[in-house]
Amino acid sequence: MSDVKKKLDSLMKQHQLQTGAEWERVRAERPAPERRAAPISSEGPEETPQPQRLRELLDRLAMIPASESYRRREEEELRRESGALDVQQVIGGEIIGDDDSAFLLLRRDYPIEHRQGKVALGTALETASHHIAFSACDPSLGDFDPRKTLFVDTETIGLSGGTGTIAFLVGMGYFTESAFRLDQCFLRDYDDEAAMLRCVAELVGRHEALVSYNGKSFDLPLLRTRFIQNRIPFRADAILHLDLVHVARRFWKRRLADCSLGNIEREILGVQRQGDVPSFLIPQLWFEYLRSRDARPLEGVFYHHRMDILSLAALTGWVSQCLEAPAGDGFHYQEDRLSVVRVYFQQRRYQEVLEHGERFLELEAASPLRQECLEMLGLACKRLHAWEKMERVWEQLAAEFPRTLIAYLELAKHYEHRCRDLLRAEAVCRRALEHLQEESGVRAVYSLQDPEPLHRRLDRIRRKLGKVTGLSGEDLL
Amino acid sequence: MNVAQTIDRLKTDPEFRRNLTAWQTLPDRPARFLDFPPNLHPKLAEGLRKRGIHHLYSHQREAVEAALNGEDLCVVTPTASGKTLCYNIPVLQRLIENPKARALYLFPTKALSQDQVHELTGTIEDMEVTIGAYTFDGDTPASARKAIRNAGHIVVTNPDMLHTGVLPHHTIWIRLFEHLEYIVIDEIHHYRGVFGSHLANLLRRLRRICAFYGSNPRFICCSATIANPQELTERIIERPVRLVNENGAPAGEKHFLFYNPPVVNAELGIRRSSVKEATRVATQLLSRDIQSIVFARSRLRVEIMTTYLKEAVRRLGKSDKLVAGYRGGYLPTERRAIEKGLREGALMTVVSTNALELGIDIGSLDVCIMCGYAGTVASTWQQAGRAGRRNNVALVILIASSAPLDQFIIAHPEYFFEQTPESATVDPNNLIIVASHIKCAAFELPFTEGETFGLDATSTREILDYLAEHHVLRKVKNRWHWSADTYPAEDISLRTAAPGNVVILDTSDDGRVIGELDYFAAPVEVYQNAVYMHQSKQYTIDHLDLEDRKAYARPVEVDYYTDAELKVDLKVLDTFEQKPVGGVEKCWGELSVTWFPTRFKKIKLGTHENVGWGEIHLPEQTMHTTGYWIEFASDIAEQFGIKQEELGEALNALANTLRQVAPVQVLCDPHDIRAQAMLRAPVSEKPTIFLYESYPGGVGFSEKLFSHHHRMIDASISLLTGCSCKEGCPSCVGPALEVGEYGKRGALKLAHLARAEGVRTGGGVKV
Repeated sequence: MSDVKKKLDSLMKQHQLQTGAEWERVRAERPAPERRAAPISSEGPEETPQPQRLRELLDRLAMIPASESYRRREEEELRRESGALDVQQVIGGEIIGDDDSAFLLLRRDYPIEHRQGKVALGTALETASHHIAFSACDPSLGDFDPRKTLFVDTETIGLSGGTGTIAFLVGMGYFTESAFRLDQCFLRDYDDEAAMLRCVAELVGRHEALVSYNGKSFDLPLLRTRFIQNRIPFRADAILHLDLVHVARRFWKRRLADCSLGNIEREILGVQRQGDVPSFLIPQLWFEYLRSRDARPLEGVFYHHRMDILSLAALTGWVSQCLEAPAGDGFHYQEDRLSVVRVYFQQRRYQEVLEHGERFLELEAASPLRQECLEMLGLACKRLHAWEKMERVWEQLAAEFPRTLIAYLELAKHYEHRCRDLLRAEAVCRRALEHLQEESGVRAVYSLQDPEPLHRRLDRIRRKLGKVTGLSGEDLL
Repeated sequence: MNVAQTIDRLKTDPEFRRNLTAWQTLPDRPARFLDFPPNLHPKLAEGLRKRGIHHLYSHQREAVEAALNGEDLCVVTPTASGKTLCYNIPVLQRLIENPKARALYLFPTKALSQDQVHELTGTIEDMEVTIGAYTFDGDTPASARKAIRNAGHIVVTNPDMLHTGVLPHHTIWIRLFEHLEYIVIDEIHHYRGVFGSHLANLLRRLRRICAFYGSNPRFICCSATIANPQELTERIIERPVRLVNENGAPAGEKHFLFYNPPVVNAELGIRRSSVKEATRVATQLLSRDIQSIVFARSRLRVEIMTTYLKEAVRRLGKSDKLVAGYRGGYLPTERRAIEKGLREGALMTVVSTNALELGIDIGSLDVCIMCGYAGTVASTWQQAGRAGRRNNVALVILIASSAPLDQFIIAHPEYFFEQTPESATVDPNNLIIVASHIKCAAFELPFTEGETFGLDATSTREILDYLAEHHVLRKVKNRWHWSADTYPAEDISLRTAAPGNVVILDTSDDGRVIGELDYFAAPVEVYQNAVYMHQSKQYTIDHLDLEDRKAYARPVEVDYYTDAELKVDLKVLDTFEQKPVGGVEKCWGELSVTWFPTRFKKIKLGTHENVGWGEIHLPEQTMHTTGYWIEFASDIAEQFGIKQEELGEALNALANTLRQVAPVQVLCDPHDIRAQAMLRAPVSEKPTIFLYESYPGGVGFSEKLFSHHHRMIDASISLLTGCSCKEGCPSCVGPALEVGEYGKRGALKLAHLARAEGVRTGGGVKV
């Protein structure tokens, strides 16, 4: 009973029905209403609610309990007393715009030798476009030119979309003749937005590609919404876009479950951030800045944001550099190397699958990942019509991993259709079924592999055999 | 045998006639046909002809021309008068003329949306043009959403989806909003009270967004017959509308009969069961091959009657496929099949809840049987409208149940026939509602100084400033911007009901989904050991998993059904204000309303005897809301020199009366406010009458009632003294059967006490 009660409670919460507890909590946090002399005369109704009453009714609408706003107001005053600092004093930068709308631009030039972790920013300049296209599974990036690319990231007020969500900090990095330039555009308040968006539009207009981290589903739609709301034409949809989150997932997801930029940066680039603020705090810091006008806590936000963009550039270069090394040697972990084979496989580049796959087998003599590698190799051989090699791969797979159904099935098909050797085909099927039966006690393994096709194949081979030899299939056993 | 012959036979059947309290004949009405408007696009005209439509009814033509002229409309359409053409023709015409144009259709339920798209798609195919019409609601797969946003010429959705799924994301709906030409609101009478007030505000938001994108859509609204369709529409869309209510659809002569089942036990005053009587009449019609619809008041009754009728039709030696049940909770494919069966005549009898009262196309039937009074005049006429083919006589029989309201109506047919249908009220400027939507609107587009949102500029500004003060918005220069990291729309529910369903799975059939149910209905219908009936097939529920929203059922064959008892509890959480008035205390504050099923009865099919019971172990469901209540002195019965029972009657009667007058005071729908009388309220232990709000948290009615206490009491007194009934009727305290003989007199006494400047205790009360 109490269990069900708990479930129901969680359901109610899910549906934002107020439970007694929540109701009381909110009430408790609300300052006790002043006991007022009953404002309503007992004679005659009153038509216009008194201001106080209106306020109280409205109290229920505010997202933040009233006490919270009082607290903030106090903090605000504290800050003022302690000498709050203006954003330009803290961050520097210059104000760009006109009387109507102006924002803070913080520009920094990094020498191309500047290292983000173990990678120099200049590495990005050596990026080979075919590696980028390959890593993104997007042939249109074959024209990718790092010198004409904008590395973009935004900091927002914390919602995952919707028209009321704004980006209060938009950063764009790009290479100049001699440096990597990073422009951080900051909203000192909501009315700075139009000026900032015009600046973003101008920079986007001078470039041919964007690099982002999850920008396709987050930053870009958000910016598009902001542009529409400010009635400024938005060009960023029309240019090339390399979204590194997908690249990171393709290469590193197998090893690093967490593919957030922070984690990739730490694990892949070896970056150690100093004095960073966690992402989830950022919206709050901006809101608090709006209220207190004390920019000191924003330093961390600017730092966080800069690091994100520097990592974008470094990561772009790093990916290309890794792919440039022969046969996946740029990747040090077996998981990553296998992921590279998988990406080649997904893009039907079977020759490279052979090359990288064989190298993988060479280096990893005893890895359980060999199974997947052999599978891809076998299928690649099949697509390449490299029959002899294929036969060897499947045999090797069956020998190393006797429970892999695909090896037997493919071998059986090969013997039956290409070699026209029905007896060998039949033998392979039987071998497979034996392995299956052997393991039938172990449900977990086989529940994923349906032996049905094997049975059907065996039946058909036996019928054919019957026709050929004049015997019934069963007699052969 | 046809309907006319059946009616003749009924006329001469003394047994049947003895139980009738009314036989009203409504004259026939010829069709008024007009040609298609001359400028109708040839493809559209051709498409209509292919569907067998060669003329328009006069009201259709009027609506089409007015809509194409750019007028905003309210079309009042009785059942089966072809209302969909009133909006589909102008919309399709515009879409052919301008492929960029867009239309938005709003329906109150998902089922109606699906129906509509189904019909539209058919018409569009016949027209041989490329026009995309799609539903967009919670069921729309993510993969289809983008295509609908970009290529959906007609987007069919419901207010809830518009509220959370479309408006807050208007920038990705840019194609829709830039070229939105028509907004169709069907079943607009559905949006009354709080729901209607929400819709009006939703439309304010919608218009604001349209203005941003430079479009100015026109409205085509359709309403069932209510007292004030034009007023309601104008208050919801906040523009003058042209009323189109000259119905040009034909109707045959209609016979409206009131039937009271005969008394079987004179001593106890027990009448024969209305369910059985309705079944008997429906069976006779079946044996004569007459198509009929039977309306029942609950899902359970629908299933029971379907079971009985299927048995009966088998006894007649015919297929039981001639009979079907219909109610919410059937799967969409099932419903489509039933609707088709009715249209094509393959189904002879359908037993339905009020689900078929709405504008679902099932063609017209010969006979309508109402098993129990539908509760309102408007609904009753709406249901009666299901019977009546063009040139044929139609028969409508209302069979009264033993409920007090039914017995009153059946005993006073003139009360029903002379009553105008109920009117619908909305209050778009209810402070809580309008402020909630201002929040949502600010999220969608910043507010600029001087802008108004329903309210005048000063009030709008006051609310915006207030929200800014609470850091929900931020004011910079002359604009207010959204400034919180939450989605406002997600905290605001347009309806009382919790979203979502519980699905019912057949465990004997691989967990196939057999039906669905509202989340809140599940504990009273699919509790463990309940017999769940679906198209008269019986299943027993093995387990109800509310968290996963699944009920596990397996088929059984038993000779009983189950019926749960629901207990409602009311508790005062906090009194905001309390004040003596006359001889009572008026109060308002926070209440918790708890309801939970306690046990279920097993009732034998056929005889309806009680053959056992079981307990239901489910957690209670609680709603916190606000209420207004009147406390009487503990010794009030002694003061009046009446018995406790009589005091109970009087409290109930006054509660009913207050509930009648309250909606007028606060501009809401009767469903938005509930009343409960208690002889001894918890904690205070005093006789108390509670009026409380149906919406979680309330929307401010209670406080208003509290401050309007005097008006409330005065209105009650004049209602009680002005009503010509002797011992109570549905217009004042409720039928005497319900509130007892003392009810009306007692209510008046209590009302005077709640008004008089008398002394609270110790006698001397002026009455």
